[in-house]
Amino acid sequence: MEKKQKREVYDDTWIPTQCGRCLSSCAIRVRRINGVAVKIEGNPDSWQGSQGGVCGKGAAGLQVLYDPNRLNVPLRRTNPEKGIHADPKWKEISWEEALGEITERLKKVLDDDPRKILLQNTTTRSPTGSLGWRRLLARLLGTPNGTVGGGGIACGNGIHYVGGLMHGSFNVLVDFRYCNYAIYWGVHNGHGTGVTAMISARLVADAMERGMKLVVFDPLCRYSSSKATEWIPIIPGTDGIVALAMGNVIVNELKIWDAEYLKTKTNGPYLVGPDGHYVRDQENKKPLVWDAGFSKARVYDDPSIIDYALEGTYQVNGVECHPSFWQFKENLRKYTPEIASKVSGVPEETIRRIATEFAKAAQIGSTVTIDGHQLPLRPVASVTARGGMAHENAVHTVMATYLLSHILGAADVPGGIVGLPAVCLGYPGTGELKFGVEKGPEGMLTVKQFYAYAPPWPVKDPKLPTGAGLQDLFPLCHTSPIYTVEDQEEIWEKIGLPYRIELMLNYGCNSVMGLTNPETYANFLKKIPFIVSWDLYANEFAEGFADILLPDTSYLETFNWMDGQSFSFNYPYGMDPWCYHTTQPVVKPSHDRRYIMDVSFELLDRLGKRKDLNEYWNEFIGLNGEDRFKPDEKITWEQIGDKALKRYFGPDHGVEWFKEHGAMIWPKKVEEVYWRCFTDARVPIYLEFMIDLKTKIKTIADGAGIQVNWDQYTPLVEWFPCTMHQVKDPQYDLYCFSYRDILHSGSSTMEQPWLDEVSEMNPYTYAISISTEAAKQKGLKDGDLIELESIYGHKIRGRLKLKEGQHPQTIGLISAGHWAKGQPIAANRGVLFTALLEQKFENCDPLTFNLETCVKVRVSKVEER
Amino acid sequence: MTRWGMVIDLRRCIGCYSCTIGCKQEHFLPPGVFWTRLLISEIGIYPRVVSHVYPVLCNHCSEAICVKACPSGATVQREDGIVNIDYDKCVGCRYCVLACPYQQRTYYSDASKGYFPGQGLTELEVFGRELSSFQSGTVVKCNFCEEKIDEGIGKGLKPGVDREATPACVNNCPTKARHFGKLDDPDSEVSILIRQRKGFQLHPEFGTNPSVYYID
Amino acid sequence: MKAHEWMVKYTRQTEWIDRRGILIWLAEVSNGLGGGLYLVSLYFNSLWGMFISWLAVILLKGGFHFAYLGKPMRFWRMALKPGTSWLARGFIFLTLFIGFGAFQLAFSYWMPGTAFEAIFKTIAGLSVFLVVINTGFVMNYINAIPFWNSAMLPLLFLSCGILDGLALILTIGLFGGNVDIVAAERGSRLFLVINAFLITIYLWSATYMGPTGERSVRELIKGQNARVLWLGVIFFGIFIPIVISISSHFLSEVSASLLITGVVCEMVGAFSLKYSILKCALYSPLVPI
Repeated sequence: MEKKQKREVYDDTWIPTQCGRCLSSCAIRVRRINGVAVKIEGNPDSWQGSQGGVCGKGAAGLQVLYDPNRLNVPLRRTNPEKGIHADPKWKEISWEEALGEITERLKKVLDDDPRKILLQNTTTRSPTGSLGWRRLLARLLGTPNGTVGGGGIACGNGIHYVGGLMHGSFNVLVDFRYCNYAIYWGVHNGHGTGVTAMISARLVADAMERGMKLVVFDPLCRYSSSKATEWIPIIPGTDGIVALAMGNVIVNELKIWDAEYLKTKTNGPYLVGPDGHYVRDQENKKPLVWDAGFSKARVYDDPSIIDYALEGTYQVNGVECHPSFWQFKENLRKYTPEIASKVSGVPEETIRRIATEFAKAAQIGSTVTIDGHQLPLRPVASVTARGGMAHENAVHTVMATYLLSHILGAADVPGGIVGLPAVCLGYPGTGELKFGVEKGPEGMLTVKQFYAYAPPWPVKDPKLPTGAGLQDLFPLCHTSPIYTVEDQEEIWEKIGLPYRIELMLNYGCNSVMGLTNPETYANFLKKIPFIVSWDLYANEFAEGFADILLPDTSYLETFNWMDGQSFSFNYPYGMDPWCYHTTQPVVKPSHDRRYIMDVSFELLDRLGKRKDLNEYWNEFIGLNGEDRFKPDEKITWEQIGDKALKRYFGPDHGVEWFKEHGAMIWPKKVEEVYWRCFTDARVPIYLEFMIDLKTKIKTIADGAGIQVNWDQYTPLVEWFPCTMHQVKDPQYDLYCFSYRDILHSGSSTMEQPWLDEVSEMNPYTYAISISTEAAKQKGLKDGDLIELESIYGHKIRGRLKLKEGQHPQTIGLISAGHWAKGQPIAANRGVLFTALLEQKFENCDPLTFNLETCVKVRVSKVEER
Repeated sequence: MTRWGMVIDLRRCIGCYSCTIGCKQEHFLPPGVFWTRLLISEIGIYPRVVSHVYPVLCNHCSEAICVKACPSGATVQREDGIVNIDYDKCVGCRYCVLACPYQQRTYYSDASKGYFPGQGLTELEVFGRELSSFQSGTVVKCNFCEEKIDEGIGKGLKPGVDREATPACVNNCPTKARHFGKLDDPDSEVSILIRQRKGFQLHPEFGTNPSVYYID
Repeated sequence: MKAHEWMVKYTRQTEWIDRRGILIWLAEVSNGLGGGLYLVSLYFNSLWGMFISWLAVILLKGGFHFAYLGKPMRFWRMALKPGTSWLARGFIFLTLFIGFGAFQLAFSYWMPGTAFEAIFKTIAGLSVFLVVINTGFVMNYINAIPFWNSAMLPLLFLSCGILDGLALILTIGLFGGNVDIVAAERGSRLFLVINAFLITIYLWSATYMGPTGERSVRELIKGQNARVLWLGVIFFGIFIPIVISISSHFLSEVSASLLITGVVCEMVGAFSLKYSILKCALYSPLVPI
């Protein structure tokens, strides 16, 4: 690099910090020479990431810093007209003017009804604490109404709920160090973009070199499916029925299951009566099990139980009942490989074969010794995420895929599926940062600290909602789709919502591109009188709808001591050490950019909320006595960070220490990673609570006239076809899906020229891909300009790329197609997939309200002059 | 005599383009110039499809055709096998661009082009041109990060082992799909990988004897 | 070619034909015209021919090459590596020709018939011969492009050059130069046939140079460039001139305009051939296909 150096080098430093190009927050080192950031590499000393590498997005991060299109000063919209293609006619204003107006508007709304404030944060950009910001403001402003973009509603609701229910964790991955057989359902762990992407990349590369077999069910052969030992094409949204059929083969044909695990770690032995409910002890109401040793019913946690029955018919309390495992097992019988094959397109023989291989690879009964502890070794894992799950049958699909591992006892044990860290026994020096899981009501797993609207267990009682998102009524829903559904106003009227959103604060989220059809979503945004957006660029959300646009600092210009998603979110999993990183500025923010947390503190001060603000942090950090922030102290974000870090890691490990070292790293304990072996808590293979939950919700919902697919509120995991599977019109013959390219995080990475250049070099990034077979049938060729029309009548156009490795009944693309003037490099690249979608409230996943992200389309060639 | 070489593990590569971009960053390459890239293709018939991601770069051939073809002696091969270009001597005839069977040489024509058309050069681009300047009208290509290697060796570091002395593309790879080291040392990591994993070169029939090997 | 198909599919060379690369084609065309004319002029002893061709080689061939260089003022460096580089050798041959050609012209003009004239004619003739076939070797050397990697190429360029030369010398003769037109015509006829023969063998054997060679020829015959081949090379370059030649053989007298037409067509043919060879030069894909 010092080739023809003409200038003298007076500063050449490597700064340890975190990447902020996606939510994985990998540890990086950035080289700064003479005040210019010139190189980004991974931090080889940390397991947060790939131990030295970065992905393409991470490497391209310098161009976020050095882009003439970055926002530098606050902007005010002078064109009152709002809309998808509106020209905001920005006027530059001072921070004083911007903050003054925002304060005034906030004061007015707060005096009126704080619930009229909607907070929105990005989930793709990290680690500048976006969810932490939202939680802070939600509490201090007093609004329950918060939301995110597609990386949350489309990709998150179903998977995170089930992850919490079954693993006390936000997401579930494969314990790659010990796994021998992994099945992915529409997910690309370690080969694409997503949570812990580069941690997984490092681990899965090692695992596959060691000989781990990877089977991937996916309509498209790219990334994980192209690296897989075996790629199995599948029709989108049908993963659930294939998983159920596999479960059927395993328990009913092969008769393989981990009895010990099911008996002690699940509600498999809990007795279920003819009404579907648990059979309970008549006095203490605890669920009963059948003690096979004593041949009598006992409460589940009776210490004298000799052996739990998993099968059989018993008479208890005057009713005929069976252990829930038996119910589960019998219910699976109807999911034959033949039926699953018809629905999904996966050959019957393949379903049987994979199920057999998977079950045999589980090595039930085997053990392994790690750090002196002998633990069950179950080297099989079945995981899913966005691709398999983001459909109207989200929860049941995730349950079906996870249960394959649970049946075989491969949950939170070596080699099986493991959650992102659910248990931490605390930093050894101080004992702080403890969190974990424990036994809750009915002996079921409960998590003390969960990121969602409500912990998954015990289920919160539904009530008529006062929040605009209706989570009060549907407590399994974390992020509500209400802001993007086409019947939004109708729903609000039905629940008699006494207010509407009148002020929106948006942090870095481009929800215009990330949800469903932008025109529909625009109808909602247009009704909001005042919208403030913090961002790095003027994007489609800002140009179309923001009244004031504030220039945020990028991750390379920011100090952040917390990952807003909470400690368990995206940290190294399995036996990889704990790595607590901080983000620090590599260069000072240039021009007049200000970090959103600093700006928010200023706003809260102006609103007279300093006391509440300081108290919030006292509580958050857990400060006592002299340590606490005084009510009027004008503490800054960095000062809070210093206190927090010293509390967590000791008085010598404040901000200065972290700026020098970048991270605190300490080894994990086996009790933390494989907590399931050390925790007496069970998870449900039979969702008994669904019965009462349905009744409770339905009573209120019926009263309001709200309809959802109540069938899915059922205790047994079932197959539910989605809207797209039931389209009768033969014209709409292709399933159109979108997926993630490793080069992009949502739509936020398309402005960087380096990424743009390589995206052009990639055949698929900005193209629409279709199988060569389908193309031949339709007379389409490589490079044709085509139009897709969804069953909702929405149309998009793009260039076709033929792909041999794609299911012939599908057509796929990455959602792109920017049009904002503030991002000239990104403009007109690719196509906007979300424009095809339309969503009614009742057609979301009825349990968690995940959006449906796949739609039936018809394709036609566009003649070019 | 040391001969530097690279081994690329096709099984580990996930096609993230980090090497491509990291290289551009390391050398402040202008738009349109790539010193390493990924070639994406697929073969087979549905559903038995094989996807390929091939990272390619200058092979620093020991029988380099470009060295022989260059009329001005601008392209030379060092003793350690690295083929590099003296930009002061290149006349821009592009014979080497044609002669390279792997097409890894690029003619740099327009120095005024920046990454943000119509918006001038960014601070990074301006600074980059001071640290690593290219002359328009000459041919450029990968040099195995020879500056890092030379400086590293000067400090007693080992290229391929110590990051500071190792090519950027090798450092950047998140799955450690690239390895760098001494081909002449039979016990080096690269030599062992080539032997045990049956490393192959691209198009050996050209007689170039590349220093870049692939394993699968 | 789309960015993502580069070196994944068969990839054309572009540096020496696309955009600024057209100068290389022009230089090669001038090479054939100028160099060929000089050789033929030596045979017919036409001083005008020698002079015009010498100028053409310096100004046109030299000029186009100079204009093409990325760093033209460093052109002298191209003499430095004749040990391995055909381009360097070509530059040296060119320089020799310019120098010795100047001497030859001077002697032929002021001291014709002397031994010195003969010596310089020989040396200049030899150097221009080397200049003409040099391009063939420059391209032949590149084994990365199977379509060029043919022993036929130097011969083909020589033959084209002589044909060009004969065509031009005929023109000079028609315009009053001291040239035996009948002999020139006879020579043209002969070389037309030889040339057609060489082209055919060249293309046919190129199809045996592996899949890339075959693909190149297919591209030439059926692809984007087919028009240039069939119309330019075959129809205008071979067919029409042969028709004119044969008719002039059987008819006692043929009009000058018809002969000129023949000349022009031959040159169109030569230009088209060189264009096609540059345009249809393919590299093998780097990845399995």
